[in-house]
Amino acid sequence: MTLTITEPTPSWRSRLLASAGQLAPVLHSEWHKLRTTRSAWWTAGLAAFISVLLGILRCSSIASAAHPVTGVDYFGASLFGLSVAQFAIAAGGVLIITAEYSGGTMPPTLIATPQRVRLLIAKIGVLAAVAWAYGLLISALAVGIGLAILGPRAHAALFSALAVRRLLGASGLFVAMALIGFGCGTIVRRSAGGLIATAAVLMVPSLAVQVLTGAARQDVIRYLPLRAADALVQGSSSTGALSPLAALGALAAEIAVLLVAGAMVLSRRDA
Amino acid sequence: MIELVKLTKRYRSTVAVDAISAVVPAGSVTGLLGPNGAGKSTTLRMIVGLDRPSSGQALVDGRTHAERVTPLREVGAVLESGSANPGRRALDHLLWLAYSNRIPRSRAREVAELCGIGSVVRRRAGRLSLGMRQRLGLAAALLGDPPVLLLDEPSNGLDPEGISWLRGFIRELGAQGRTILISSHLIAEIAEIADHVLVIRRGALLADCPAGRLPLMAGLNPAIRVRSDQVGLLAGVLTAHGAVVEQGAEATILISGLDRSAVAAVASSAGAILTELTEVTPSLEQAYLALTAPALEDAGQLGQAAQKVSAP
Repeated sequence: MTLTITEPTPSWRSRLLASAGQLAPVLHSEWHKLRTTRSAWWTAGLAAFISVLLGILRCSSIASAAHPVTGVDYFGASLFGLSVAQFAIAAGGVLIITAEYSGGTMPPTLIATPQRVRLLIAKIGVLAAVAWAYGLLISALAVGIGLAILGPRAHAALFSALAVRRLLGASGLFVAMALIGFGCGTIVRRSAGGLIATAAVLMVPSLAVQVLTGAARQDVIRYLPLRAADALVQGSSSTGALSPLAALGALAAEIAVLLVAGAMVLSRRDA
Repeated sequence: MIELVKLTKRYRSTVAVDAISAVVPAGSVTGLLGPNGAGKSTTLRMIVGLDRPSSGQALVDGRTHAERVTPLREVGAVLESGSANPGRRALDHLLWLAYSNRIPRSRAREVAELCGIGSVVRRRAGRLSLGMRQRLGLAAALLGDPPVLLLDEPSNGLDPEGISWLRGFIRELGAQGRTILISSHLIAEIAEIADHVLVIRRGALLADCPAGRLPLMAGLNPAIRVRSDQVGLLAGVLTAHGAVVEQGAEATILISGLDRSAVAAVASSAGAILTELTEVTPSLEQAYLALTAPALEDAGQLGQAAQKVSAP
């Protein structure tokens, strides 16, 4: 007679808890790494500078207009700088990962955490959380400065549910751009190449859709990363734009494609 | 214990590591010797999972690297001197590594002190000298106090003082019972500290033996050197007694096939006066060179290798 002992299969809950437990030290490590990476500080500083500066210029030009402009999106004017700052954030996302390859920290990272997908998840988690918080901070700052310049007439724009939604959208834009850059950097593994790839991902599709005509073009164009990211921040759905939720979904799908490709590169190639 | 089981790494056109099977005994200091490009680094990188073996596997204490939960507590590795981001402070480099394996913060300072860089940990890694960066790499490898250490050419870039410090340090780590695998293309660096050696050339294992037996593996026999005014006479008599005799420098001959007392007895009965009678053991260095020197029959392949190297 043989006695077969089967190990009890752990429940999905305990497995989930266990992998969350194993993720915690990697998150801690990646957080410390991120905040001691110089390119992260440069790009974050650059994004803040651009956001605030362009916001000030745009709001001042509205405030000093000879004839009062009607139908102005005061809130959007103060967030005007984000449309440029987003590229600095995307560059930051690229450099976070490519600096690991060029700086030589990839081998020790993988020796310390050989589970490459777990490592990538930790990196994504830390980057997304930091981009979210920083995006909220910078947008709030830009809005505060902008509305101070615009004066009382803009105050109505501030105290509304829409304002909250647009602030959240703005920080979502930071997360999206950081992750698009990060995905490209993970796939390409080199700084210059990663920056070019990111620029291509953001720019080339909107040129490529020019082959389409009329309604078909409009249908496709609103799903492209830059348009969808813009829809997150916009107040009223401008003609043809996606609703904020749909834009979030489109961005999430696009980012997922990049990150899955990045995960495949990271797990298959030699470090 | 480190086990290499038919470990193989193939790139498109070349075989970097060719079915190496070997065991690094627990608690030993083992030298991984071979000329540049022999496959030493690739072997070490496969042990810690940086490179994926094309076939075969590398196990440390019976497990592959990907199976470890807190790898830094099991295996420490110093693979490249530039492994710390130049813009990051040395202490931060040690800290992020420590955090990833739940190693307490205080340990970072501890290993820095241990490796003699306690006073410079607040500097950015890029502002450290090459020697200091090597020590930083060593400190990082020791964070988890691992029983197994892999060192890839650790004395590269060290000044003579640093090399002597490193040698003492490795000896000390070995005396603590750690298993240490240390690669080098210079035998002199290994000879004094290794008790076991693996010799590889072009990805193939040439020798796997205790360091002292390497000369034998290389086919170098101990010889006896005799100095005398009558070497001509001696050579004839010794050959008649079955010895193999070679002409040495000046008035010396090298004799193999007879032991020292036999040589002395033959010389005495021939009436030759010896002014020197010395047993000559081939050095590890000679043995290594004999093993790794390309044989004549390989000359064609060597030409190809040279072309490969010169190609961009």
